[in-house]
Amino acid sequence: MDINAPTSKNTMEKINNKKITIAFGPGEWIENRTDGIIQSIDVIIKGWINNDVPLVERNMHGGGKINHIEWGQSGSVEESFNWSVPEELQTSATWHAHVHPHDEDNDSEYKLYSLQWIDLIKNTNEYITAYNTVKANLEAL
Amino acid sequence: MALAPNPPICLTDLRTEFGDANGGNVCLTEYYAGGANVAAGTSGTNGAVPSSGTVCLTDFLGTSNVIPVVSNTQNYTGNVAASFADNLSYTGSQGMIIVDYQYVMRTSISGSNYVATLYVEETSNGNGVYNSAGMSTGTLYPVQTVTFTQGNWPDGYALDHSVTYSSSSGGAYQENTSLLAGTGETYSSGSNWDNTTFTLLNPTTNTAFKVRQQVTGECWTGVAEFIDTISLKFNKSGYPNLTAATFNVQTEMTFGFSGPCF
Repeated sequence: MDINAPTSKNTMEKINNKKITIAFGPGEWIENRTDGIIQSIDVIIKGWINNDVPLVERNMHGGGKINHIEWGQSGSVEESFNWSVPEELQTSATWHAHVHPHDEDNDSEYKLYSLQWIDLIKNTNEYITAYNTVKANLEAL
Repeated sequence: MALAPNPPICLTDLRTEFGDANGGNVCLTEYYAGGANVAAGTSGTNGAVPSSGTVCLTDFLGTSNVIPVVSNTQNYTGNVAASFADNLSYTGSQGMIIVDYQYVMRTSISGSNYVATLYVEETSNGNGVYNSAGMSTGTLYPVQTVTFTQGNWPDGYALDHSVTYSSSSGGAYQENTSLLAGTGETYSSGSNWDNTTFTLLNPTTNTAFKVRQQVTGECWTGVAEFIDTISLKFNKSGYPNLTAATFNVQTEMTFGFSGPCF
């Protein structure tokens, strides 16, 4: 059994004080479509500190509860940019928004593409700049 | 750099060492311990710097605005000290990913000096990367190495933690960060160790601090990312606290849900 390390009563001032939450996915972004085919996404990066993040309690299908970010709410800080969806990653599939019953074929196709979009978006200079701006502005609050 | 332990000493030496928060003409009473410029508890050749009343220039002989170090070296390259990743393809509505990793504070001897090195360690889950190469579970990877003379060995240290959580939102998922008792070393941090001051033990000892990142998702496809920010701080009687380093560790989790969402 591990022995607890000895501690001191001499406290040091805490300098990392904020919990930051940032969200940017399908619940926040705007998909621009032509004839139902996605062409580009207005990526909106939203951020909150500490307990400001809007949460909603949901009963899970298998029992228990979950507190998740309530999508579509305003961020305490926001940054946005437009990202063009590469031609080979364009689809007519849409986000299910948790409306039941789910269209499994649609969901499966949307998953396939959206994970690739997210990966590409996170590696753009626009995302990195916007993310860092949101984080810096939240830290300054 | 500490002020000379013997005279001569002048007011401008104090301004150079401790700064001049209020500007204007330098006045000796601006340099009370616990005041605008000098940390509470600061001491030197002639003992503690007064916090009120009579104060003399000679009270500042041998004082310093920082805990003196022999060296303070960052051991990793890149923007993060380490990164961890895991992914989950799941059906049946609910999925969960847990990634644990540890920090280990090791004290050791180098010649006549004492050394405090903070390491990061991959534990049983989560694929770790350090300096662009994969980590091996149980191996310690150095983050920051701080060397002191034995006389300047600090009394204590703390890991000051905060977290930035980001996600591709739009789903039912919940994140949680827990600071747990570290395992497998000489000593354990115990749980909830954020900013707790631990005694900096003489060499050679290891103390482990565990971090657990957890996300539960329901019918959720997306990516969740934790950025842990840690400041390594030291304290020593007679000196202001020293923040030796602030660094980040990243954990990324990818959820891919398929099938009916009941």
